[in-house]
Amino acid sequence: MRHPASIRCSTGRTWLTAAHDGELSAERQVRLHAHLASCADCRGVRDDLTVLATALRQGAAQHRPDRWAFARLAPEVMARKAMEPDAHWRQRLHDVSEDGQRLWMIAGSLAATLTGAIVISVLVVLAVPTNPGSLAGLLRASTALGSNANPLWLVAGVTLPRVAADTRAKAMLMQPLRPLGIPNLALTAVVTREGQLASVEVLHDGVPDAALTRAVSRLASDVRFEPARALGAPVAVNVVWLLERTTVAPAPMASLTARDLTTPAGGD
Amino acid sequence: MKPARVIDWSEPADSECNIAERCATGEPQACQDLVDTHQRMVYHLALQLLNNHEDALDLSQDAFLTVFRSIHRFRGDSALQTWIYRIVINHARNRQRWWRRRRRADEVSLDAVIAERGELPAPARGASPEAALDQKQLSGRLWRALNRLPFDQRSALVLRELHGMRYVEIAFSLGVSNAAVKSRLARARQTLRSELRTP
Repeated sequence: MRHPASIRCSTGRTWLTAAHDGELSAERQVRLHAHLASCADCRGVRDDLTVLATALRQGAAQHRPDRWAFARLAPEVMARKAMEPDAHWRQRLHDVSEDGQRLWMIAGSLAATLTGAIVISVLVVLAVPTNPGSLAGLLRASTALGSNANPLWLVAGVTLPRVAADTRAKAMLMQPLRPLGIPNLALTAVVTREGQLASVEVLHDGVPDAALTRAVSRLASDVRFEPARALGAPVAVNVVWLLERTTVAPAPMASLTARDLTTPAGGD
Repeated sequence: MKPARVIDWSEPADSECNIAERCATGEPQACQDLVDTHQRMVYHLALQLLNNHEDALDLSQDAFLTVFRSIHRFRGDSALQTWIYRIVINHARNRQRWWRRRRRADEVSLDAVIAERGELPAPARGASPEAALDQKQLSGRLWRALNRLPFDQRSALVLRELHGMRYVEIAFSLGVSNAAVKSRLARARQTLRSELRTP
């Protein structure tokens, strides 16, 4: 006959609980029975578990309410349900707060997001932008006053941008293909630190004019400027030009000339 | 040992899925049937966890309303009853926290409940009146000790001993692992066993 391997008391106690709850495999039950036959301490634990279970059930029986205790439960539930045909968002929020697990998930997500934001902020603030290509360097450059992303207005202490000498001829030769019949015309743009035109917009009365748009586009791509300077350093500036008609052509014609571009109207 | 009541864990009955679908569409009769079927279980569990009749009734109402609001999320991963157990447990846990914050926990008097509702359990045949009285006193002592257990341990023990749930069902209801259930049951029983030793 083959005897099952004996088990330690610590294992026996664990198995006793599982056996008490009906969760122990048959093979282990056999080994547990063999152990109990020779271990008075573990038999005592088994008896305690039985006494506990019996006492708890008796206690529950003593406190068992009669069936009238919850007689009004169903009517009240149905009445409350009828009063809320569609769950309000406040109620849904309340439900989420009632569901402890979901609340923890939301709190965890918020905490993780907040922690991430703090870490990134600290990195950005403490990082030394020695490398212009680094995150800190890019952020410093883009947020600094007078950068291309954050241009200055023309105020005292800022020199005006001027058309570069080598592109002045190009600017002077620019003509729209046909005369412009627009009496009032203004051009807003940013002259970058590198002396290029950016964010060019044409402001005028009437419908958009394709020829004018093309002329402005050529101007923006061909004309270069000596950038504006503040305290000796090149800075990006917002400029507004008021365009006027020339009298060079026999017929009245509006054109974009170097003279126009060299005399910006200044800040808005 | 009283055999544990077996709940079909693997698959909810077709009737449960059917009633869940009808409740999700807001059909009043289906909602009424669901309350009628589960109200005793819900109320008893609430009472065993909160130990107060009015609180248990209030919690039962809230739990059923939560059931109706979220019944569309019932996927049949468990028996409907187990799913409802989980909602009741969550409500009770939140309520316990709420009371604890207001230092009300110590004011819930189980003695008052026993004095009001307590009655001698039917003595075993042939048992002497003294033995019956001893048994009643022991039950009362353990019941009070149960009430002093941490909520997580108490809920696990109540679900196991008084509602006959299996570990996997308790784990689902409490939202924890099987190992956590075993651990909580072991700690709860250890505490109550020490109460047995107290003269």
